Amino acid sequence: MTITMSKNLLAAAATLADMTIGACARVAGVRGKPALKHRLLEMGVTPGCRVRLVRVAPLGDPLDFELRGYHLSLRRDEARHVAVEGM
Amino acid sequence: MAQTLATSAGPKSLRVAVAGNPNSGKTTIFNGLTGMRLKVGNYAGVTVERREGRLRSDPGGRTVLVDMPGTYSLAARSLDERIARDVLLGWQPGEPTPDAVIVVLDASNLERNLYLATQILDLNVPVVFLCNMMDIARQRGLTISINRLSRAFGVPVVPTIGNKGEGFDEIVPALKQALATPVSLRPNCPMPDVVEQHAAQLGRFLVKHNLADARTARGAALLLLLRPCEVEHDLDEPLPAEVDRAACEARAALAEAGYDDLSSFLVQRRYEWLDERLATVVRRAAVRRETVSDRIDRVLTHKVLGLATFAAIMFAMFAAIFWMAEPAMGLVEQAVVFLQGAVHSLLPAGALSDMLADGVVAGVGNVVVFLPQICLLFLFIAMLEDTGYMARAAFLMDRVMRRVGLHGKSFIPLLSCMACTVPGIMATRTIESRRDRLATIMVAPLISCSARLPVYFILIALIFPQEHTWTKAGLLGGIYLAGILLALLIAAVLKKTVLRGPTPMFVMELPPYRLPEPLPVIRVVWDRARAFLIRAGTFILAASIILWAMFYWPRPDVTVTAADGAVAQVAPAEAAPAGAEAAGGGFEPSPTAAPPLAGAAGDQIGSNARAVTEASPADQAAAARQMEYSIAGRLGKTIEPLLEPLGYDWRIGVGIIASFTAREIFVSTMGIVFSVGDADAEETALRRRMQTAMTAGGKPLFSRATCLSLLVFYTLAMQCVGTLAVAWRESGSWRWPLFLWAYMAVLAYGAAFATYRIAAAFGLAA
Repeated sequence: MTITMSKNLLAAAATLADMTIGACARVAGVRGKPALKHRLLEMGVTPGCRVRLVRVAPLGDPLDFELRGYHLSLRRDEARHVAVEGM
Repeated sequence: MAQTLATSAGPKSLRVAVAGNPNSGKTTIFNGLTGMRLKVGNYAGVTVERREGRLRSDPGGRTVLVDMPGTYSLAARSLDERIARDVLLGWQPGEPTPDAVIVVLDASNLERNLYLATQILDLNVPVVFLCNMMDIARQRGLTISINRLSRAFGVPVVPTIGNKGEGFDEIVPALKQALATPVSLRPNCPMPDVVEQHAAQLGRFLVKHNLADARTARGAALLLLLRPCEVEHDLDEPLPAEVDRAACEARAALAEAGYDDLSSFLVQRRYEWLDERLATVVRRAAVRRETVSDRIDRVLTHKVLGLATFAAIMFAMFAAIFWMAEPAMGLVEQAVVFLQGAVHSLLPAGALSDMLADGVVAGVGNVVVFLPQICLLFLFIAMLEDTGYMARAAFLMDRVMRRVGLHGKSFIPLLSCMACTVPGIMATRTIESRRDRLATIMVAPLISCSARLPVYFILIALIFPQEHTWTKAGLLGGIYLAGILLALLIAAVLKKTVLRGPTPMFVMELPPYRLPEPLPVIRVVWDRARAFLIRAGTFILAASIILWAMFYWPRPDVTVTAADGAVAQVAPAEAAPAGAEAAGGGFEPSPTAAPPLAGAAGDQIGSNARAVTEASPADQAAAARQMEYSIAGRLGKTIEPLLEPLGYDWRIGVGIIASFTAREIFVSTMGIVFSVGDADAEETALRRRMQTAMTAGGKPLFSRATCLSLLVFYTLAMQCVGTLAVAWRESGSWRWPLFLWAYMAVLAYGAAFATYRIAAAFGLAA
């Protein structure tokens, strides 16, 4: 129990990859390699933006998010780089 | 009143660029504004499609619209973005700077669409916004104030519904208004002072290098600051090195001033500014409404139903291509035979009429025969794109493709290769990353196409003459599977070596579903077919004529008979009995025989084939002799030592050379080599002849080991001029098709050798 707790603490805040289907959250920050980070920001995944996880692809990846009035699909690996709050 | 747009801008014609995000409905708008008469080509030096047409609703008709690549940004991180930026700034060679820009916005997600739009506004060109797909926005519960949107950004805004043509009449007046309004009155997204200072400095540097003027300097500088220096991008940047250096220096200075992640800062700043501006423009309904599109997606991306529908759609696509293309291809083949007959009857017999009929007409046939499959495949692809299903296909299949380092978007092009590699390679244009596109093109020919089937059929029949159909089907399935697995394996290898690069990002928009419209779909089919004919067709035609000549010359002396000359030395036992058997009524050449399936194809060495179908068995032997005597025949003998380890002799070598224009020609060539006449009409006769054929050493030529080895060879070897031509066109360099041919040759040779040796060890060579 305590071990998982500290692991979670190390992994810091929740990310888009941790959301459950149908849940909404607010983007807290974007991390990751410059190319990915820049692309995500340009697609409108900016701090403060509201995001909803709509569905998961049949094979378990990628994910389909709704934000700013459109659907954006990200792989789990990419979604992990977007920290969220207020799930 | 009748003043045209062009005269209001000056005496010369007016150029208007049409920009917008992907899926904003930009293409529909462009088609609607220009009609069907377009100039379609590529931007100089790259394989990004460029379309240009005249604005229909402008009475003077001198306003030219240029369709820009659909992008989300002008940061120039991808080739499309780079072209879009360079067109707007006049940095693209041969492309004059546009006088005005129409920016198409998807009304449902204005923020993200305006991100690109405001980058364009920063360049201080006259701009008109089209707020498109207003109907869908309304369905989503959005209320957009067009007046407020216009005031917020200082540009004329026209609400449009692209597929219904609504709002199109207002575009010309709006353009006039934009051209008449000074751009200085527009608000700009202000940056902090220190950023503005460095941008201004970089802007002055651009002006000094003639890359910008006072108007565009700030916007251009901000675009250059947007892209981190350390990020590797696989684009050929046309900018002088000193500009890149100046941009990096500015970034370094700004990093010291506290903006260590300048790119992120610039993007976020712009979005913040946009969100502020839009606060009073867009009103959202309190309750989230589920759109029709969302409901469709619940089925089409469902765990079970989604995959089942996907499989059904893919199957329907293939069934249609396989079965619908065949009659059309048959027509092409009949037309070729008819024209060949016409040429021969109109012209006196001789080299000229032979060349026209068997070189040129058959060569054109070799090109045109691809069209049914290209048209059908692009009909499907255009519909899948337009409905929005293409993005879902990538969404469903990405998990599989990512395993080998590719993007979900590579799936459909590769799958298309099972019908025909040529349109499959042409379909790779939707893949954004150049490396992934190349990797997809490089493995595409490993997937067995339908042209290989005739070869597979005859070889499998030779391997399993008595076995049950299921055994044969099993072997056929195995070949297909081996091709697919190998394609994936090699893609993974290429992505780790020659085309090393990170697995592409997936970050992809899933656009709302839409009903496809007939005209744009037909437009895509037409453009693709035309592009193929012009770009690849000439190459295929030339190759066909050269190959014909190789089989035509030199001609043996007419007095040479089967009993003497070079022929007799090599295969005396072969030529004579073959003729004798046929003369003894072994088979009756049928004058009404259907043209070869391989067809157009087969007739490329048709001087012989025709002689055989129409003439006596003695002529058939003569045709075989001619083939042996020709350059190709000699070449076959020259490479015989190279082919021997695979279990082949020179006759198979000739078949391999002949089938370089198209694999299925192997069958008709064997027909000539073994004096059978129309190989397809007389398949059983050909098979019998091949079964009894002996090597010089007195062993059966088509032993199981040899056939297995040939099967492997044809699965893996790059035996298709069309594919090479298209790979050359789509990669923009002759190096890639050369590499393609070379690696596949090595692979095919190695694998065929191993197959022969292993099979021989199991006693299948006798």
